[in-house]
Amino acid sequence: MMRSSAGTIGLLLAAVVLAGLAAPKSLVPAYELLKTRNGVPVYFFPSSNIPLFEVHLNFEGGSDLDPPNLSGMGTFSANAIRHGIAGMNEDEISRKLDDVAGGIEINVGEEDTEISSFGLNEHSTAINALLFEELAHPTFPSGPFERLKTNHIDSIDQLPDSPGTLATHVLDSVIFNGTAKVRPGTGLRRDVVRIRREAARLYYPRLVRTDHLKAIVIGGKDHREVLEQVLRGIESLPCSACGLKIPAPRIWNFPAYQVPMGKVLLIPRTGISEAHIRMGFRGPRRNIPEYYDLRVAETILSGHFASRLNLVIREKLGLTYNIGANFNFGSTTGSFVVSTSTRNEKVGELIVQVNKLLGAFLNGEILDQDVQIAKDYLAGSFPLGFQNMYVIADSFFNGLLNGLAPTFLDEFQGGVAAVTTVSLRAALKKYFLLSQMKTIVVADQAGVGAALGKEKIGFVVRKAQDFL
Amino acid sequence: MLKMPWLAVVSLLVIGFASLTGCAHAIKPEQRGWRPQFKVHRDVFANGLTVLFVEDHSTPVVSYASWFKVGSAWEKPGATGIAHLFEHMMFKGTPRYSAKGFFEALESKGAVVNAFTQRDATVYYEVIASKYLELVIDMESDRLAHLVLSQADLDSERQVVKEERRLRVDSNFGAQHMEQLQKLAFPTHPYGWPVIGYQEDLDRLSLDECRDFFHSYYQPGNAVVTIAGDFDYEQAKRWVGKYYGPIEGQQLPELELKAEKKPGIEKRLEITRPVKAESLLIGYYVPSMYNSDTEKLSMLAWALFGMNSSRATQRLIHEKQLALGVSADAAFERFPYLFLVSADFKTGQASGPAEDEIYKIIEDAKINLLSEAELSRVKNGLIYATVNEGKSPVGIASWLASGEFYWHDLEKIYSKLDVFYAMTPEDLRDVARRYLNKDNRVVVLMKPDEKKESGK
Repeated sequence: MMRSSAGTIGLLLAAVVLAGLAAPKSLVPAYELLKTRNGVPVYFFPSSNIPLFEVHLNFEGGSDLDPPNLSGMGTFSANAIRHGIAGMNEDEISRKLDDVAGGIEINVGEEDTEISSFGLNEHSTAINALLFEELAHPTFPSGPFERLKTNHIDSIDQLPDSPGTLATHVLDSVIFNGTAKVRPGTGLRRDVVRIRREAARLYYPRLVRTDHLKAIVIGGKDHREVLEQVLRGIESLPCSACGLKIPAPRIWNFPAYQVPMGKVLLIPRTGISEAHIRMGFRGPRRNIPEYYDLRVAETILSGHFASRLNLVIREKLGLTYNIGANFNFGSTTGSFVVSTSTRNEKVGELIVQVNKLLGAFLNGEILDQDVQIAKDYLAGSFPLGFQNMYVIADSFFNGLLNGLAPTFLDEFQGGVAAVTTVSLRAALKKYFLLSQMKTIVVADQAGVGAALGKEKIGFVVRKAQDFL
Repeated sequence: MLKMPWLAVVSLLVIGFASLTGCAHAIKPEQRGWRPQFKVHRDVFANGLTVLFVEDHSTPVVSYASWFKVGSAWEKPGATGIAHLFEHMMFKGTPRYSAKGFFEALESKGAVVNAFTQRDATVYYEVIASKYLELVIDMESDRLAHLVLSQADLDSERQVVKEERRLRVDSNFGAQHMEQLQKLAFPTHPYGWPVIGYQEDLDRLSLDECRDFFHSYYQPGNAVVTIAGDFDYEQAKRWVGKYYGPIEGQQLPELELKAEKKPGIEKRLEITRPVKAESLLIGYYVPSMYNSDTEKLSMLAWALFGMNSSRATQRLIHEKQLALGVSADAAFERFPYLFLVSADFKTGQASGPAEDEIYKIIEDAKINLLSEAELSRVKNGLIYATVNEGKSPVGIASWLASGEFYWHDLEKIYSKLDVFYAMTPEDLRDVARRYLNKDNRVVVLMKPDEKKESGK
């Protein structure tokens, strides 16, 4: 149940719902759920023992909504809030923030755009005044915009100098081809060069709109003006796009990203002796009944030293320093990804061994004992991630954004405990889509060609630039 | 947004913990801001083991860290990388817990288990539900007393470490760049070789060398253990006595190393790698962490280079657009090390103009005092970073351990934050004059290899 904020602290207190108090012994500390006069839900987690505040404004809609042939538009549009407001250029904004050791961050995700502020309670007034002024009245000056664009294009060009990052990016491009997520949120080079400042300015109101906003305020129990200021700030935000329907994400399909089944995609990168490997397929969203089964499954495979991939690929075979495998659960879709690396001459052997291990896993090579160890690990490690209220509140908010109930954190232990070997196998049959797995290798072509051939692994070669 | 140099500053602090052997003190109030409130007990056991106990009952979690006074600075030429390789060997098991059993026993309780090696320290840590603290104490003391080393384990772990080096250095051009700078700056001192060592040295390290290393440095008297979180001090102290007490040990002498002889002229090196753009590393020789100038240099790095409003950021990146990024870090070590300035560039952009501008900014800081506003920004940033780092027992334990480990005197560390607050613009000008000079620096420029363009 939500109420409307009344704009003054006295009335505000009367309007509060002590939502978190309804659940005794909850992992989630007591919080208040309010609603601004323009309809924005605001979750407030007060803290009295640490004098820090965080504000997160989460706008529904991210890079998935970028216009055709203009990927990166959301990123450029949102980041312009740091470039200038009336009477203050970007350097003056930086000085003002640094004066009080405050921060304002912008993160344009695929499905949402999060704008955050943080700092010490005693400086909250100055920091959040700046935050809402930036949000309400960005001036989009040309100098910083063009610099950001030039630098961003160059960072795309330099991505091959980070082969691991490139490998991850290419795998995402391949497995999400045919969806809105195939393009990087920061944009394809061919699109970014076309983005104009005026277009970004016109796009901005479609991204920063209060009719698709959720907010959380953490901290400031004895400094309630943090909350009060955020409520007033949200209510003061203009919203010219309010009421307009958010368009469906656009589907993109790039023929060049299609990889023949059974073949490895090799991205040549000269001068490196370690091949960077990513293997994966499209996975489910976060809000599914089998979530806990899949968490246990990935824990058997990876995530700790006694996990299967680590014991076999690293400890027994000495093929790698690091191997990880996990499901990435998004709010609408997700992925399963194995990340590892090996010396060039062993790349074929490593791929064969990982496939063999994953195949056996899918085909039921899972003991009750494996399941129990993984469940114990998850149950035991879960509280370790919540060493202060700021982390708990962040997790709570992210869960809500993924469509979960406010009680989801308290359901974790029960969810894990309910997993059985039978339920896990059933979940794997449904979501562990090995037949669709794609394998990406970023490596020195001269070094790995023979290693792949030795294991009779076919491969196709594409340039890194095809995916940038 | 706050950048990395704060971590270096904050890690120097170990703030606010009064401590005497066996006594607990509340934290003194800080005049300018917040300080965490924890009870700290420091005990030195008969075999020389020092343990810091920090009770924090806010969450049912305990952080356990074992700091050993040995790192790559203790190595010899031809045997580089043994400190780090041995860190891996410490997980190979004992008669009671096999390698797999060690991890399973802890990870089945949900523990985070890992370790890291630095130039001056090797650290093993666990974060676990506090009800398992006795198990951790038992297992950590067990491997200190009864570690089993075998040729087969060494051979397999050697491959893993060589993979790590290929991943972190041989396929990472930025790491190669740094490796070259250290080599140029420290031709005789151990800080000249990488912590992970060279592949050829890793190939030849023997089991006997590993055994000698273990017996020489893995002594209770050469370790500091920190236990932070939700536990009862008296009970935990009894457990430490029970499990570590029987381990005989000896106090090791402090490592004595001659500081690298400064060349007295600027040393420059140009390297090529298959990258798109140039990048620049400048290192100024600075004293060890025990010198009172260290805090001043740290603050100077932050003031000139560390913030969005810093002179370097505004002039090089915003105004003149001479670089993609620029930063500085006064990374302090047990022995004299470097004040590092780094800059990255756009494809095709020459580094020369940016390098000149960096020197202009430094020369200007020797003449014109930083404004009170610039200094105030750094001090406010320090308060924020201190509070933020102190949000969890892990952060607190890390401060405590580094204070005890490097200074043996928490009371001395207690005043470090106040030293920062008391700093004046003249202090920063003076250290700029003293250390940031042409004849006191090494420069390594990494340029694209025209024959091997990246991404092809």
